[in-house]
Amino acid sequence: MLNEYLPDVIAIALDNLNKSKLNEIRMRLGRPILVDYGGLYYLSRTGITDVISKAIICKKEMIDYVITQACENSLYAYNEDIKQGFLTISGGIRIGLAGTCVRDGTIIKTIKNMSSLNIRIPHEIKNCSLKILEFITEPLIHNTLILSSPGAGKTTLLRDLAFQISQRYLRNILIIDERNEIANTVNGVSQYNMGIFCDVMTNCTKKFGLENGIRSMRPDVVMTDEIANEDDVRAIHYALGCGVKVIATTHCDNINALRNKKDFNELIDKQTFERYVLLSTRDGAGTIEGVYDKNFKCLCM
Amino acid sequence: MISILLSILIVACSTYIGWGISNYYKKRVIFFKDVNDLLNFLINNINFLKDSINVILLNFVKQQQPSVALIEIINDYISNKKQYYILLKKEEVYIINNIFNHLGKSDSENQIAGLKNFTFQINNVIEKCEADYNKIGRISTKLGFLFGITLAIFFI
Repeated sequence: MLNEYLPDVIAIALDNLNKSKLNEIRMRLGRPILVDYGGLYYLSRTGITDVISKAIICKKEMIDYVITQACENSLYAYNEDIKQGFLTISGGIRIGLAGTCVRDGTIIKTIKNMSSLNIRIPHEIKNCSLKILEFITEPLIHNTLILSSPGAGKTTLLRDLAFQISQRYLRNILIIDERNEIANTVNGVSQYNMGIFCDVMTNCTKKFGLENGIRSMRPDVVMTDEIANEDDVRAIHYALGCGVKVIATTHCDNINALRNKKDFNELIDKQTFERYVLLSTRDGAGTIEGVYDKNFKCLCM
Repeated sequence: MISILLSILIVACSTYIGWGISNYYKKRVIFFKDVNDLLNFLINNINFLKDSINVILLNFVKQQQPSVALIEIINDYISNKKQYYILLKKEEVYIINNIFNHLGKSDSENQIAGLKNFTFQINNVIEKCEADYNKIGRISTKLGFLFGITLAIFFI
């Protein structure tokens, strides 16, 4: 699936690798292509290598090819995503973009002269949330915030939580999938087994999704990825005011650092979230560092 | 007897050539009207649904059933093959190439502005094609027939 978005030289090299172990491909203009294959390696024509001289060097045509393919030759259809610095392609694969922003005053119109791509390949890890499930769902489902630095498995954990809560507790779950990363819907059908009680709203803002989705879909639990700003926090408050449970994620590498996030102060002070789950990459992505209650008391390590 | 048969053959051939010329001009009008429909279809779909170009083109073929010539061009574009234009003049090939090369290269606002510009160009081409058809196409079958008759009389 990934190969169709990549230039032949990279696709052939990747054919020699076990795709289930492949987490990330980093393409930087004029630099060797790097892959996260359970550790960082250079990509060579025959697979992976530690020798920089054997690495495939990323050319502009390669970056352009990936973007053209990812946009299905239709930039207008993806420009909103490009403006936000990413593209999501089938399989839930996310391509992070870096280049020159084209601005009109304060508004970003697009990104041109792409110089770096970060292709992140998601993996469905069934039952990865079982270890923490009881802390989140017993005796009732708690409002939960999952914290970790990027690439530590927040989305994978959230996806499995959706499946487990849907299957085990038979609750209506609404997933607000702003970047189509959680459910990876293609033509409206999720590419993952999210359980039979899941509804997914894709490509909408959290504000829109939470306000309209709660009204229209009457969920018991709402799940959303990457709360980042004041608008997202407001939307979460709205959901909680409607009596809906919220399970969300945010970027933060330790529990105390969350207090330094200005937009989160109100959430913490009001004890909005009853559970915090901290993830890290210490023993690989998805390492559970701890589950904390609303007073940041550790419930499980 | 042979001269009569030959005369009939000459009239038939000449009429057929005349009909072919008439058909050529007619097909050109139909082709460019279909291109105009395609541009309007693209404008509406890009503006609203924001589907990818290939999806829009396939929907257009399915829903509007344009002329075979345009279907072939669309299929060649979708499968990244070189496009061939049998009905078109050099400057028209340039416009059609520009339309397809322009697709998917900008945000929806600029894409639509570009397509509207092409619509204007295509409308001018349609006007010329219709004038050609009225001037040459409509009478070429009759002219072919008359030319055939003249030749036949000459032979007899």
